[in-house]
Amino acid sequence: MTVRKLIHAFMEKKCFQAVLAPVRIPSGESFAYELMNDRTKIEQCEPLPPIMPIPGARVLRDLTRKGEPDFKILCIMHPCEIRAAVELAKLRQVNLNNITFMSFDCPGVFPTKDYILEPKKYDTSYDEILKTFEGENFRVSCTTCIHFSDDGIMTDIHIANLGINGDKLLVQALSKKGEECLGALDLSLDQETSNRQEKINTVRKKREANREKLFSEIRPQVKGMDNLDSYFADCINCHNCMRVCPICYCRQCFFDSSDTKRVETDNYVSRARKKGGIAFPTDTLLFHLGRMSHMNLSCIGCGACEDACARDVPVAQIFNFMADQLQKMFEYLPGRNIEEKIPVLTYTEDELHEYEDAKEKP
Amino acid sequence: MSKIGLYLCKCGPNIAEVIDLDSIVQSISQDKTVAGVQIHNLLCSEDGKKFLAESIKKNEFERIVIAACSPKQHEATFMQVLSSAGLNPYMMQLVNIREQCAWVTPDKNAATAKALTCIRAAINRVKYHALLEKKEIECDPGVIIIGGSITGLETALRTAQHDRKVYLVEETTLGGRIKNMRVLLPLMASAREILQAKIDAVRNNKHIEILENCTIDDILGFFGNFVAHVHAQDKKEHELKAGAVVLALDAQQFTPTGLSSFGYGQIENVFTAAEFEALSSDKVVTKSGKPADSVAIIHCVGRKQLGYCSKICCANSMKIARDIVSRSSGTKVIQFYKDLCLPDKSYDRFYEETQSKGIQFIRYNEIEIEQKDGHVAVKVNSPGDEGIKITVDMIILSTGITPPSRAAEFARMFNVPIDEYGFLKQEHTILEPVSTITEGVFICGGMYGPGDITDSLAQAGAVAGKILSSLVPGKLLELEAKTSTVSETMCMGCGACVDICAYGAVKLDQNKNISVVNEVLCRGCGNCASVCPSGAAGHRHFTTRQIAQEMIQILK
Repeated sequence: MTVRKLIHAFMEKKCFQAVLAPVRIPSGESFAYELMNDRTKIEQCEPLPPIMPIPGARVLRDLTRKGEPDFKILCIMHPCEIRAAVELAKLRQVNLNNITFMSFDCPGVFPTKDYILEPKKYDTSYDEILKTFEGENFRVSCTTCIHFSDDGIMTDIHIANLGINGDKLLVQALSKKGEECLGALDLSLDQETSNRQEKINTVRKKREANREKLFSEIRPQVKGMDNLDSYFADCINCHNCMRVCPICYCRQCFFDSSDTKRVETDNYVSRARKKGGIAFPTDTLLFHLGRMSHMNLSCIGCGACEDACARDVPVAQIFNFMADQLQKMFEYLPGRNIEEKIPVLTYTEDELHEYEDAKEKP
Repeated sequence: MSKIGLYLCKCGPNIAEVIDLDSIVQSISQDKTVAGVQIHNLLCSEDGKKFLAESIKKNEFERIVIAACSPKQHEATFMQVLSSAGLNPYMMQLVNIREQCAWVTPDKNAATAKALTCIRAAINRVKYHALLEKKEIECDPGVIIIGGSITGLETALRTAQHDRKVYLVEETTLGGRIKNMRVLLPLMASAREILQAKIDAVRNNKHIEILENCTIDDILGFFGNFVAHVHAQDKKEHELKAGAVVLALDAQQFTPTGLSSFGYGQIENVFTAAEFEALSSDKVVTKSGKPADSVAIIHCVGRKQLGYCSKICCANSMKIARDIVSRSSGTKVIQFYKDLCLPDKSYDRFYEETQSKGIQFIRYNEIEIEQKDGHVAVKVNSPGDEGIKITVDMIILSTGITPPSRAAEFARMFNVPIDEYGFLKQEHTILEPVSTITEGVFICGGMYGPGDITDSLAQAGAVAGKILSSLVPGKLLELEAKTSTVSETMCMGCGACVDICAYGAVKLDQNKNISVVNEVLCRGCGNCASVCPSGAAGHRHFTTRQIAQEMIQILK
């Protein structure tokens, strides 16, 4: 049994009428999401590609923002992409009706810039990595990701591929939708015999250690305005990170608006006078900190921002670092549960006392 | 470019003695964007206002900055002057150089410097003010009364008139707690007759619309302009519009489950006073149907748990005792009391008359109810006694009064605070007993504490008086002009502003998938503009540009 065979079995039983999954582009160097119902096309899809040029949640947003499709779609995405889609659903930018999610245990993805130079080398390397989940050269965000499996995400069907070798496929139905789909198949189901949970825990421990190490390295790099300026010194304010971010949904980003773009000459001149100089392009830090304050509560740590950065600024690392702390403050995990409201929209009179008057924030 | 005029007020000596206004005039005269600067001794005086209006007209100023006292003091005053001078009243900015500069420090240099910065900032801001239109609507003189209790009925009767519609909304049927009573204090009059008379009067009044078996889902709006959403038992929904809301829900009686010494819910033939009064049988019988030869009425049940005296239960217990004896002359009634509370002038005599009917009164310190051979026994420790045990056929527990079940919900709905017992807080305990801090929302009956029928009816009259005098048909309400707006082109329909609005003024247009601000309900707080990441939601009088331009001058 392979994933493709499974998809076919589902479609024969009319569990869904189309598939939204990554497909290798003709040149072979990259992947793009395609919505397809043609059997041959589906045969060619790559459920777990080695790169993630655009997070799938963005695609789902384009597809369903204006309404639900009138047929069922199987949406094959990485765990982080599903979490982003759930966050977008909370913001009414994605309609999850008629969408069935299929997720995988994810070892991580390579930086797109590296992959497209030598796709075949990375493909081979990835096939090996899928067996052991141990690999180098992944996105930094992936090496510190602890939600790479089925926990903390709202998925329907989960392919538990970590540590499963051979012809068997471990499929989990993690929702009513998933149960209905699996129930529709006439498959002989064996009992799970692998030591999968142990393997998951091993990988998670490693990732948590990476996470702690990375955050402790980042902390001194981003303390204070001078350090922040250095951190973002290479930024050219192209806003690619914002464009590719699955959470950023504004039709016009505030930092592209006339309020921030059509600034009087006198403004620049007086700032230069006051500080002894002004560097151009201006307000890059304003853009990053502003965007962070808008979307950080929902940041799922996919690292698409850093992947798309034209100048290799470690954007994802600082955003993940901040998201980790901010989400812990509110005990909020984006994408975990669609009923869980984003904290900026809830009001609790009595909260956050531990952050009042603290000299050194906990 | 608009002609900007700046006026500096000496404020008697309040401002002039600390701030060097002449130096400010000098500094500002170098600003080419300001067409003229003038100093006046007291702009808010009749003479000052006349001067201001004439000066504006003569100089043909289009935007005004006034440096004077706090906007809380005179913003409205100067806005009126602008109107009288033919300018849109929002084309002005009032800078506070009194409370925030002159009155903050004796240091003249510091105060003058700060005043100059603030004035420069205001000049920059006023360049970006928009012409806002003042809107007025006629107030809705109608009233929504929540609760078909006798208080609600009375309020309805007193407020309904030919030019004032009254809605009476009740979750079950009309009548409230009195429905289940037989007689009323202090005259032992028939509860049914009195109640029915009120209900009939209400039903016959064509200005009162009764909505029985209806539940209030929410009420939005403000004084003169409330909108209520109600659903009936058959799920049908109604929208009611009114200018005032009266909360007239009946209080409840405390149920002593969990107080094991009283045996409620565990021992047979132990009733609360309300349950006993609701028993329909004319004869006084136990659960098994046998006539009750002896009844004990226990006062002050749960008093310690509630933490307050409920004022009416002692007299009510006597009322019940006398009613029992009048229905069943052979029945012996004993009242066990802790402290006898007789606050009304008629109650002393009522007590004497009760005793004269053979009803016994025993004081107790501690009391316990036990089951004994199919009877109930009362074990009592009285002051000065070792203890007595009395066997009776039935026990009536006189418990205290607790807030209506939806009190907290309605309190939240109207931003009315509740006290430590769960009752709603009056606007002022002495001076304003029937209104709340939310204008247009009134309380009576059991809403702010225990009371008897005469209390409730007096409060109903008070509420009616307030409504009749303040909510006059034809009165105009000025709506907030400085409201929020949502740009149709920029909005992505995420709904953040809808969630965050405390006034229910922002709704999602499901067809266009954008948010829309109801300008009648909007209070201009700007929370929506704050939460919107793209700036699609904005505030008419606190645009990003206005705030930024003010900040830029301050930080220069």
